[in-house]
Amino acid sequence: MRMLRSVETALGARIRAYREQAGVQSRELAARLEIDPSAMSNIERGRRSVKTDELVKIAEALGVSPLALLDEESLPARMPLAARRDGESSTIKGAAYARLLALSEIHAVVSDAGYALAPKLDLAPEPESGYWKTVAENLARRAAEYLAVECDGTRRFAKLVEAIEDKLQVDVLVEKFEDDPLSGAAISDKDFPLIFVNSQHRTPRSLFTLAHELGHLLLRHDHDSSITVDGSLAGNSEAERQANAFAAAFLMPEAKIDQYIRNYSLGPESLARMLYDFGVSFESLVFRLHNLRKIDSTGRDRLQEIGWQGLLSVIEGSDLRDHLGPEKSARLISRQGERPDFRPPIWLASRCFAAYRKGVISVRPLAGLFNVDPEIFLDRIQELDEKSAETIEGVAESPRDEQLSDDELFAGSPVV
Amino acid sequence: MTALRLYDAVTLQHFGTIGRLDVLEARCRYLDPPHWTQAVADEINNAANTGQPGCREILAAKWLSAPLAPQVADLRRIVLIQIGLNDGRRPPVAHAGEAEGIYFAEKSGGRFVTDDNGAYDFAERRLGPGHVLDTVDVLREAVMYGEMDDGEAVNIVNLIRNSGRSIRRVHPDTLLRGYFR
Repeated sequence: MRMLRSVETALGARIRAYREQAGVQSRELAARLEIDPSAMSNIERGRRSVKTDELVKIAEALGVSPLALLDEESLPARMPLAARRDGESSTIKGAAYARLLALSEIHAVVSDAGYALAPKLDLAPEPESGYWKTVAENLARRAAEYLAVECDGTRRFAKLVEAIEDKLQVDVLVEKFEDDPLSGAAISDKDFPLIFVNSQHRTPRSLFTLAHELGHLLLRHDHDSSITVDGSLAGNSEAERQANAFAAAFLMPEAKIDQYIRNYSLGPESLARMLYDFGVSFESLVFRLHNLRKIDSTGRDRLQEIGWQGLLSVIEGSDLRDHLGPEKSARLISRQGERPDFRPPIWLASRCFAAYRKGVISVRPLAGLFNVDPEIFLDRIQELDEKSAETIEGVAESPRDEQLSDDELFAGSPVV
Repeated sequence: MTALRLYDAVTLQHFGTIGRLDVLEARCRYLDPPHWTQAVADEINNAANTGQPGCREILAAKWLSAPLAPQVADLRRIVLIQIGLNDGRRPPVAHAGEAEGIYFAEKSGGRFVTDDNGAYDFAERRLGPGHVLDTVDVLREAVMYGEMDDGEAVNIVNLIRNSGRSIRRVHPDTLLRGYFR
């Protein structure tokens, strides 16, 4: 009995601490729960039991996970608290942050049941000590060699996502949250590293966000919690400036920029070629050129004024279009309007699939990872469960249709 | 703790709406109470306050006994289950009743009765076959133990459906008497 009381007291104390941190009055919280203020006070003193739905409502009102109230060591407990800043845009208030918090909860559930992952983040290059900018640039160079993403700008976002997933075993979530203050985020937990990119922004900007969040992870920007959240990517702290410097150097290495300038001099052609090959936004490229002192602040301001539309109008109205090639020119234009495709966190999805089969989670969070209706997902799984193994074995052992002509083989519809 | 048979709110409301809670009561005749949890009782109470049919009858059913209330020491495991029952997009506010039911059924080696499709599938994988039932399973048991004939079972499902409620979608739209044997 004494032990139980101490458990209740500890829970009450945590609820009170979170409430005070969130700037919520006890009376206000009681009203949200539709309970008497004295009952709320007794909960915080450990003198009254907390019902399951009350606990969940308390957590919701305070903007934390219920697991944070129950387990101080859990990842959700280390996620930052949405402080009250009424009237201000906070990166930890919207649907995107709620999604990340929910993913950290799912990770906690499947990990608790033994479905863990061993990310390879420790094998990646580590930051050396020194001046922040030099540290970021050196790390970016070594990270680029390690991840070895060799392609032009058109495929660069997708290839970088794949390299992060494959070589670091870090989850990447690319999902659109319209009008959300969160552009990107990095969960740096050693058991569940995850990069989030809000694909409401166009691919060139999303690419920079992806590299920026990778920078946070590799630079070990843990802060006090296990996540860094980014709204505008403005360099308003040293960690943000360093992540920006990392992303710029990673995506636009100085040596390559020098090569373009040497080959084409600094003008529309080199700008267009760099834009195409790096896959970055025009604004990022201009910033980079200025930061590398290739252009002065007047040149930067002028280029920003004309924007990528100005550059493209120069290309389309001159021989440059032929120099670049019509395909490159067309892709450069279309890319400005493209957004990255949705991508679920594949490692978490894999763990969830195994956990689902053993009754650790229901179909709902699994379907939620893929943004699929859970009922349809469940119907499909149940249908496939019964015949999958048998079908696959049957297909492997079946004879080839050598008697069919090419006309017959190609008559079906391969895309459903 | 003896093996419990715990009803979810959806199933209680199915039978409460058509005035046939006696069917569920008969299935608990030889089992120790309680037969519902605190979150289910609260859910029924909230539904009664919004005038949903059958809820007053459920709240008045003495055979359900006092709802099983979790201790603080139970909450972490219940919340882990509840997170697993939600969609992973926002705070896990729904499905507290199912989470408590599955937790206590697991803890007691008992059975959980629900007509929520996702919760049924989850509970079956977690607790094992035979430890989770839905309305059709309960009626099959009742037919098997001679508490009703298969024609009455068909009528009960039709009454539930005609009152605007749904049984699990795995069952056919038209149920014949043989389905309950």
